[in-house]
Amino acid sequence: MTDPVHTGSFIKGKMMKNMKALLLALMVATTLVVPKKSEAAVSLFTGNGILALYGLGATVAGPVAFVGGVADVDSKFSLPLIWGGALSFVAGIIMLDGEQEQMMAFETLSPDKSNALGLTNIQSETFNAEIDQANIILEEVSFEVEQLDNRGYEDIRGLWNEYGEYLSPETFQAIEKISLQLM
Amino acid sequence: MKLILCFLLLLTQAAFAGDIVVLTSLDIKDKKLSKIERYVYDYYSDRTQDIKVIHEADATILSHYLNSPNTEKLFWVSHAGASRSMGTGISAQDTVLDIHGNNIKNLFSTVHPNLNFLAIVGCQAKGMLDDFYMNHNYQNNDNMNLFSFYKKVKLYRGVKMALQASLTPDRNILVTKVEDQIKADEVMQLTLSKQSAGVDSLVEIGDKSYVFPADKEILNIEIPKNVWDQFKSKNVKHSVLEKEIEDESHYVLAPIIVSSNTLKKVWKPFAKPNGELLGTYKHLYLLK
Repeated sequence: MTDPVHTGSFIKGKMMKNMKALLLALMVATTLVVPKKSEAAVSLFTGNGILALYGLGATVAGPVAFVGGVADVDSKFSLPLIWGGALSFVAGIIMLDGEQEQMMAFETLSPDKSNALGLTNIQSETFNAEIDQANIILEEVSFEVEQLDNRGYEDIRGLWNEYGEYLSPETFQAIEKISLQLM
Repeated sequence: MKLILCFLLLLTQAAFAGDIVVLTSLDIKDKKLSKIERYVYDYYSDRTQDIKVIHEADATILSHYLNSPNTEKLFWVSHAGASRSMGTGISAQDTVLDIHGNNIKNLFSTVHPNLNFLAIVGCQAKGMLDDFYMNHNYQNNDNMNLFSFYKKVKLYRGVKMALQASLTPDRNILVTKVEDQIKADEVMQLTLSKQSAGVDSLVEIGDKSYVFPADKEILNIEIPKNVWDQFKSKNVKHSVLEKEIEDESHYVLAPIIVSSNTLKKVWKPFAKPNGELLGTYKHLYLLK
């Protein structure tokens, strides 16, 4: 004969054990699958380099960039940022990954890369010679983009036009071609 | 006689027991940070009096301990990432972050000769140390061991691996021993002077970075000629070491004058026609 009281408590105990195991498994899974990134201090220009270049590229590309109804740069990038934030929040493990805080910078162009971008010799040579100036301008525009209340394409284009005056026209043309890749 | 001298030299080098310095630059809870300390004291339980652990370390602190004659082993714990292409002509840069979000990667290229173990506990930073080594930055550091990771790494696992590697460097595949460095017979000398009081700032040239303290008017820099010759650009970048981003009044970056006795050239500021320097937080000085 089985004792109903003991059988009940046995089943209850087994269920509790299973629940605990399930909870533990869930905790372990979320911890392992989605490692946490600690809230490192964020660089002033973090991530804004890509926004600044995207904004420039959109105005160079013209109406093509607006297919899909993206009205401004923020809405284009908001979804990945929300996902990134959500993933960081869930987890318990601390990853020492600095990818989100990496600074963007222009790189000197080899003849092959210059051809791939469709640049003339004078454009790529001038760009290479002014690479440090171009990077300072990229940082400055990125900083200004961060300050904008409304990050519309035309606002970003305006910033590039303003700071681009301090670069050779050929360097600025090269930057426009580079930004087009982000479309 | 020579043999005795060599023996004595080896003995003094082996006997150098300086500080075991652990600098963390992570914005995480104290409880989590104290776990790192516990590991350090566990691994170096026989040398607890030599241990120095500093949390929320910044560029100034790192620069101090990298160049201190008392530092024997240095462990830097922070977020990091290797450079990666974002398209033709544009890339995300090699990055090692301090607590204020500054990229302090190039500070690791200048270290005191007494340092015998250098670890960056951060993701994908081993390639950066390897590059510094290959470009002769450690020519006064024969037998120093370099440790970091080629891949992504978790905090506690990374710390434990680095501590273990420092105890048994010869048996660790992530350790590179500095040896057979070509020593330069010439040194490039640069002098940087401030025109007015400013803030703590970072001076970058080629693969080298230096902290220019707010309270100093002159910063003298010496770069071995064979390192200098490999710089792709010899322009000087001067940037604010960010501390409190909200309070912009702190970020007045003083103009500097860069000159060199050995090069007999002058660096000209990248400025607007009215003389105003371009860049809010970073200025550029072009070698003409």
